Amino acid sequence: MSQVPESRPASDAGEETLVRRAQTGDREAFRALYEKYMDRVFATAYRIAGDRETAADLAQEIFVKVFEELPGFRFGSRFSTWLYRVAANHAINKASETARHARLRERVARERPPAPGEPRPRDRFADERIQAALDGLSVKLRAVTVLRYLEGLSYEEIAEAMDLSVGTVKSRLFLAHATLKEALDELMKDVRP
Amino acid sequence: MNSGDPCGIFRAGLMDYLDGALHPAVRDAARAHEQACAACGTLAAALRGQAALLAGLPRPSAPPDLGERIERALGARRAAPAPRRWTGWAAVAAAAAVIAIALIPLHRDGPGPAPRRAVRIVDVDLPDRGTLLGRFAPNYENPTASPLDPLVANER
Repeated sequence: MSQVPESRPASDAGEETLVRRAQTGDREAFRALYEKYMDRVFATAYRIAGDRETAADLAQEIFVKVFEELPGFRFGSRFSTWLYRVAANHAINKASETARHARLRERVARERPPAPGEPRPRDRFADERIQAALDGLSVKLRAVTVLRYLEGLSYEEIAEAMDLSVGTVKSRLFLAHATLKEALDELMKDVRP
Repeated sequence: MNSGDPCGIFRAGLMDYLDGALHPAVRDAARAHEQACAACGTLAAALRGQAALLAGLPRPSAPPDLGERIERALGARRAAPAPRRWTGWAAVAAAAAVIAIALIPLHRDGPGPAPRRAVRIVDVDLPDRGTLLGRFAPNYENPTASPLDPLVANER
């Protein structure tokens, strides 16, 4: 779909050099890597966990994990795909612990209708509603949806990151759409220009 | 799914269709079906709308101190004391203690609780069903005998 962001990280020779240096324990090289991917990893953790504070903790843990496991990375995939794999798996494993936060967010979103006459374009209220709808998905469907539509990974990259077949990725996305339908259909009417 | 189910075919390829990943000829057929079938057209429009909403979510920036937190976490791991390794004599002493504790019940003599018997399971030829049933029947003459006795060899 054309809405998928195109700002995917490119794996270039410079990055490969950084990764190889970081694999030997070079902290400066690793710093350059995490500074490059910090926002993406944080955003992925945030959208899966549904909570900013938890996402910061998760991102920190993810980069420590990446540093520890980096020597085992064999360049069988792009570094970014491998990084998303570590990030998504870690966030999924921890997401159930943040379910309470997600429910709270959902309730807050429901309880904050816009004031009468307030313009309702794409605003914070809408974003919270969308996040609440995402939180309503199972964590596995949510992870696939986040990686696809928010992080712009291809089906193949998601399959690799989540250790799934491409067909399973597509079917999970389709199921996610079906689950999101009720929550987002109403929102689409609201924000439609 | 077969050619008699155009809606099924359309929905099976819908994700690829919306991603523009279909072969041009297939894509054209899908587009024609989308325009002709109200249900499938509505479904495709809904999925496009959902994708647009999701992709339009702003990417939250990481907290400004996340880098410092990562550095601290990495530093803490490096500074953490390595697990203490057993020195040679301590390992030998511990092993000896474990062995001694394990052997005590086997060599206990004199008064006290009845000595425990270490048993070793040995290979046996399984008898036929009738014999087996007889062997495991209660022994009324010697009620303390275990029906498992024939299957074990005692080491005293």
